[in-house]
Amino acid sequence: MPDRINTLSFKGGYRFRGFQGASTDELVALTLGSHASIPLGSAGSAVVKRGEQIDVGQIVGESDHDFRRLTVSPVSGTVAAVSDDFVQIDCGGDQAWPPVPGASAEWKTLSTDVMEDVLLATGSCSVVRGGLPTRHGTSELAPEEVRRVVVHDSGSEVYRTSVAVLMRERDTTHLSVGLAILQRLFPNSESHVVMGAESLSALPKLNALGDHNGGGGPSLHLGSPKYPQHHESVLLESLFGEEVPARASAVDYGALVMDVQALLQIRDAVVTGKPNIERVIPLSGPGFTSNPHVQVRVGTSVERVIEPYINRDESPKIVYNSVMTGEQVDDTSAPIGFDCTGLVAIPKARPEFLPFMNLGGKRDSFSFTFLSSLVRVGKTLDDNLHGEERACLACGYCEQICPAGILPFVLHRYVQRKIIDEKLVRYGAFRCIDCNLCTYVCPSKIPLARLIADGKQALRDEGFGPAPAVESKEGAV
Amino acid sequence: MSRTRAIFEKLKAVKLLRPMLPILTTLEGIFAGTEAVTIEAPHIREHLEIKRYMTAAIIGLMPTLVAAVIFFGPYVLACVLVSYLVGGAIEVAFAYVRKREIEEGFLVTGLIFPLTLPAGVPLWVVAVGVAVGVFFGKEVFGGTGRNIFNPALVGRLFITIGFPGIMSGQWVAPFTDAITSATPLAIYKSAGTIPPYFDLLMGQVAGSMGELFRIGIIAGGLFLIVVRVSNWRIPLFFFAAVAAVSAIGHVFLPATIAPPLFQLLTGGLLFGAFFMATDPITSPATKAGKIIFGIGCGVVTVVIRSFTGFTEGVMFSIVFMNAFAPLIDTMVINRRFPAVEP
Ligand code: SF4
Ligand code: SF4
Repeated sequence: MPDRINTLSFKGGYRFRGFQGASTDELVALTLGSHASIPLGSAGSAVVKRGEQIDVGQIVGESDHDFRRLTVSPVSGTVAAVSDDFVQIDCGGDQAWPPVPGASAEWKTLSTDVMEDVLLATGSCSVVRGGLPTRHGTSELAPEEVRRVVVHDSGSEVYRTSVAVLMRERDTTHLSVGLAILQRLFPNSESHVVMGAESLSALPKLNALGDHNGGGGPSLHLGSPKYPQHHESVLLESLFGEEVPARASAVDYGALVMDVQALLQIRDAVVTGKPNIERVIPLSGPGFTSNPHVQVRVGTSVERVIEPYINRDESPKIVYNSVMTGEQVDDTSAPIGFDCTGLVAIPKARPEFLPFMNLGGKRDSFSFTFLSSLVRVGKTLDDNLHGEERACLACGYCEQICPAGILPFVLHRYVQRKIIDEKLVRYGAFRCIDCNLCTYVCPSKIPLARLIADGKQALRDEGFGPAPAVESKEGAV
Repeated sequence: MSRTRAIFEKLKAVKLLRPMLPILTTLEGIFAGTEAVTIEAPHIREHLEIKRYMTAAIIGLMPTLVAAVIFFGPYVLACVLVSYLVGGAIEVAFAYVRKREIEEGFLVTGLIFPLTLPAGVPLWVVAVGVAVGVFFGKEVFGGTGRNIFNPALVGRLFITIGFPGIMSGQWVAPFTDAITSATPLAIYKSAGTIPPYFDLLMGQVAGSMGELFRIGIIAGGLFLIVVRVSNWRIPLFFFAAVAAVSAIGHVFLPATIAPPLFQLLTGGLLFGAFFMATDPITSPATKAGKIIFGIGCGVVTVVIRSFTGFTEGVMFSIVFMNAFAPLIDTMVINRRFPAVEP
């Protein structure tokens, strides 16, 4: 591990470890189905018509809502249908991607204008939440306003994408080139790379990241293994301190936050002209018979991705992206989106006799009342609540685990009693980052995070805005 | 579906048993667990539940209970049984009336309460005490989670005040049949003598059933802290305050205020601090609140022990501080989240 590494930390949070069904380092390239459904994103609209012939990389949608964004087609074929949310394509013909003109392996010779054009045309500006700033108005920030570029590996999720898999058949220089390109685009920025211990040991050459940056080089940080380290606001706060109000957005920090896959896409777009058309996603959870990463074109149906691996006997629940914050996939004909970071299959719980007396060698708990506190591997995972809902007994777990430094058990009481007023704001409702840890940990099985989210919504409906800055700078008592 | 659940499904379908539904549901929950699943993120939940939480607390009390049985014989178990039966009956009655499931907190209350009594206590006093504790200490507030006072202590105080003769004259030291009215604290007050500390640790002095085997109490209390079922702040600051106040006090009033180590190892202090003051429901929920609460308990304990007619101050002090717990929490929270200046 490099010597100059800086270890990040934050208050609260929880380390998920040793769950069954973690993805392996196997990478499977999934062939395309006969049909793809390309998500246009919020407020996007199609620029193609039914019956039109489409090539891979061709622009099929655009949006000017908030910032400019182009959607490229991951497949070639005929447009079968167009709706507000999707462009449906019957796939056919050559599925190889033609490089977008302008890109060059000699990227150092390219002007920033050309790089920006390529990034826009490859649909790569939307790989960063909030958009990648260019002169085309692709983000709320202007390029010169970007002060920080932060790349992370989502290392604190229950299940995560393996950086080793993403880097397979690639060179570590791909990361440094990506960072160097961002440095060119955002000359006022400094780069930070946040990796978990796992990623660092998989990529021993990471500390050579600085080589392409002509001296300065990015700072490398060891991310905390505690969830939600990779959550944008937690990440920024642990990197840069509370220089702006708590729960500030990346824009307030002048920061661009992206994962490794986004950085690689930016590099690929500029160096090879590759359009933003595919994702590498881990299939995690004990509800799959095996847990490979799959490389898949965006627009492919979830059904097609999970079909070879799902354990039908368990009839597992499929969750899109994160176990902690993701959505359940009810309709598996829905497509893999440009934002997909993984699919999780969560099996049903098996019937048990006297479940609360189980020694629990394989059960996860914040408390140390299970044998799993001693042996931390092979933990099971299912969708059961593991207990009946009870009144809050003030055990304090939710307070200890909350990364936002607020008191979920206090807030939920107000919301339950329908007290929606400035008290709720004062006690920090708007500082909640919806990480859902409080709900996860509550032994009384109270849906705390849901109640707090409802409370926030009710506050907004009543005209209370997010918490003003003065309120957030208290010291913990 | 498991066999167990199938049996309960059948029972619940019987018309005649309809009024007993909450009780059946409770039993089903105990034997077969819940069938409820996550419907939104987070899609997984951790495995600790209230039943296990309370079970852990009972495990923490086991060394104390076993020692009590060894010291005083099977009569201790009879007291525990009466406590569970009478208190349990009241819980079931309330579950029936409220049409809600039985709450698990009683499993701990029902065990702690008899352990606070002297070994010579008649069974009917156990029954009255637990009934009052559960009824007035908990159910009138709306059940577990809503009560202000520790129910075991409410019952204990009621019989202390209601039957002073029985309660003060029934102390027994282990392995003796001699009933005495003198616990070590009382002896200190009258004669100024302190029993050997080893006897105190091993429980070879007079006192209530559960407070004597102090090695076991410490082990059980630490176990609960290590597994995160009780919080370390309250006991630690409780002990620290008792030690500090009595150390200073003993210098000035050696005849009235006993020295710190004796204070810590005598009476119900260890038992109260580890098992009753830490009751999460009736103590402050905030971290700073727990510290204030612990200190308050410690100071009040020494004051009662030294300056009132009651030689034992622990239980009074905890109940006294229970009353302030909500206020302490409110103060802490308001300080931590100051109002925004308009
Ligand atoms: S975790 Fe649940 S029971 Fe514990 S204090 Fe929070 S809300 Fe109450
Ligand atoms: S969901 Fe909100 S309140 Fe709950 S732990 Fe996360 S930040 Fe805290």
